[in-house]
Amino acid sequence: MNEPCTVLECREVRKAFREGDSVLEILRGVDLDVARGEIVAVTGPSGSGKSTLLNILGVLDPPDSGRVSIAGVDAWKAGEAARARLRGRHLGFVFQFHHLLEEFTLAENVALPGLLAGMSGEDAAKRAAALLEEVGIASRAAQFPSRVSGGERQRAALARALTCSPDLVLADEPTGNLDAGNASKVLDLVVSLSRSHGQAFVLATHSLEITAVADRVLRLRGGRLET
Amino acid sequence: MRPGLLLGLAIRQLTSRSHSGIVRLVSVLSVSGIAIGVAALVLLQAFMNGFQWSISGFLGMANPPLIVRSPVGVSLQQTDIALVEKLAASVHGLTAVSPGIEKAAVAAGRSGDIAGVVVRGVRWDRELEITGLGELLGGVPEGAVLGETVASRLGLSRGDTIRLASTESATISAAGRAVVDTIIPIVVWKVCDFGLEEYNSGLVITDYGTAAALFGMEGLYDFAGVGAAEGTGPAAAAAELSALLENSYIGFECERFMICEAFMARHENLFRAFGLERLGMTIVLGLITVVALLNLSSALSMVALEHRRDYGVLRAMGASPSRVLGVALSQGLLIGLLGCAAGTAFAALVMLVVNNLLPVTLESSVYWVDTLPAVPDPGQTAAVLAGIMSACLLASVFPAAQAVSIPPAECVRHE
Repeated sequence: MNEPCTVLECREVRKAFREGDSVLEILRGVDLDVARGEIVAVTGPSGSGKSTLLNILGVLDPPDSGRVSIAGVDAWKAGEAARARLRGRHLGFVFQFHHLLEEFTLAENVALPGLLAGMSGEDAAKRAAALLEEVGIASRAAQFPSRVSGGERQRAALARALTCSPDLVLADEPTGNLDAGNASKVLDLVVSLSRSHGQAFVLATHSLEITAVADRVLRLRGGRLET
Repeated sequence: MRPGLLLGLAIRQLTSRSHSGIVRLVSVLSVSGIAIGVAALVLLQAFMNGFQWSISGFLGMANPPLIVRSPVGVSLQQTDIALVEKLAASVHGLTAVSPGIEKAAVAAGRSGDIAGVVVRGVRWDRELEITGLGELLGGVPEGAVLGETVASRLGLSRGDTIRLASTESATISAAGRAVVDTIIPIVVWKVCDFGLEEYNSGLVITDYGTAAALFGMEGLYDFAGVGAAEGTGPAAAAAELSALLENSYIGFECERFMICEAFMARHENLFRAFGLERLGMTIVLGLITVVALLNLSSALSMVALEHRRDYGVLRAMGASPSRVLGVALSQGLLIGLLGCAAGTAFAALVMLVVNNLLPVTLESSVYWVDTLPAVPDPGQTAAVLAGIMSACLLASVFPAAQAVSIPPAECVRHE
């Protein structure tokens, strides 16, 4: 059976936050389709709702209304266990501040999603080693996150997002915390990994470099996505 | 998620060096708290067992396991003893019958002092069969055996003569006065430590003939001790023999109504008091454990707070809430397990030292026994450990629920 071409389908997603008596409507009916292997950049000023949108797309935060389908499954109609499986099998995350587990080495951090998904220790370790090699930090595999540079941490975070070969990687300001040189390296990796592994990327960013390499750039304005 | 991975995550988080190692410090403190609670409870049970074991052991050594007597204090005759022997032979596990006399008397020695004593007259050949006195005396005595405290007070040692007198054989003089003219001198065959101060300070055991002459009871007895084979339950055997004795009395086989009771049952109130004391002390020491469990709960809450971002990341990587809950709960179990292991090891070490190197000494006039051994009971220790592990699990539930209740999106926010 052919795999569906669209890995993410998002329809009429709305999200508001209540602060005291006032209601702040962040997303006002967002529609988005992402095809396999596509790199989509979502831009917008701070506070425009980029991170909120990524959390909703990543099934970490429920929308107030609307539908989010991952690999053909309506994520918010599924139960908690099914959503956890969706995240584990079909999604990868890269956060702005890497969010590696400090008590684990880079190799262990990268192997962790595989172990959570049920890979054997040996397979997960092999997969982690290959990914760390691919992102160029194989020599740092045994180091703890606190012992490596910011760029290396972010590359390890990128490798971790790819461990289970997800259909879609969601990256929130992946280069926002890096200097120009490291940002460029990470960006090159995103492009090359997307091309070689066929993963789709949705990148929330301010970065002009990212928008330059994206297949599609969308702007989040007034709670809606605009081209 | 495999249990090994879950445990690995729990261990790494508890031993985390981040934030100046504060998580590791509170983990160690939690383990120490549980260990102290476990050690206190295990040692309390062992020492209470030791105290009871010593007293019941010494009581059992100097007395037969079952006693047959008249409930109204009537003396038993040879025919009664013969009946007891016949009936005891039909009860499974009962071995021999040893009749005897036990009454208060006055004793004098070389010091010029006199002392009130309990004189027990027994048939040595039978008595040594049904009690542990044979082991204590090392042979059949050919004189009086007395406790070391009373011997010291009367200035007596082996080979001396103790003089015994009793009002039981008093006669009334022409002037109407009670005259105690039966004074029995008997050679001290052994001065021994019965283990219990009550016996050491007032028990004199002689042969039946001497006691019968002292109390004017030739051919009469106060009781019949009955021996029981190892593994025989004294209470059940006593009840069975009592029923047979009752039937015999109803069937006119004997003139006197006799009952049989387990010797330890005569000290039931004492052992009930021990039980109450044990319960009270267990509650007091249990409070230490409650404090340790509160400490555990707050430590795990801190760990959950420290690692909330990690839990969010785990959820993002596909871990279900129940698995995150599992990590947090296993931290509580891990701390409990280490605390129980450390506490039990410490308690075992203390017991080893107390039983072999530095015995706990007691004032025997107050506590009956002069040393307090530690006698661990595997069942009690297992119950303490199971209780504390369950309490640890319970104390982990709130922090674990906290860890899971934070939405993953909230955990991974970088603001």
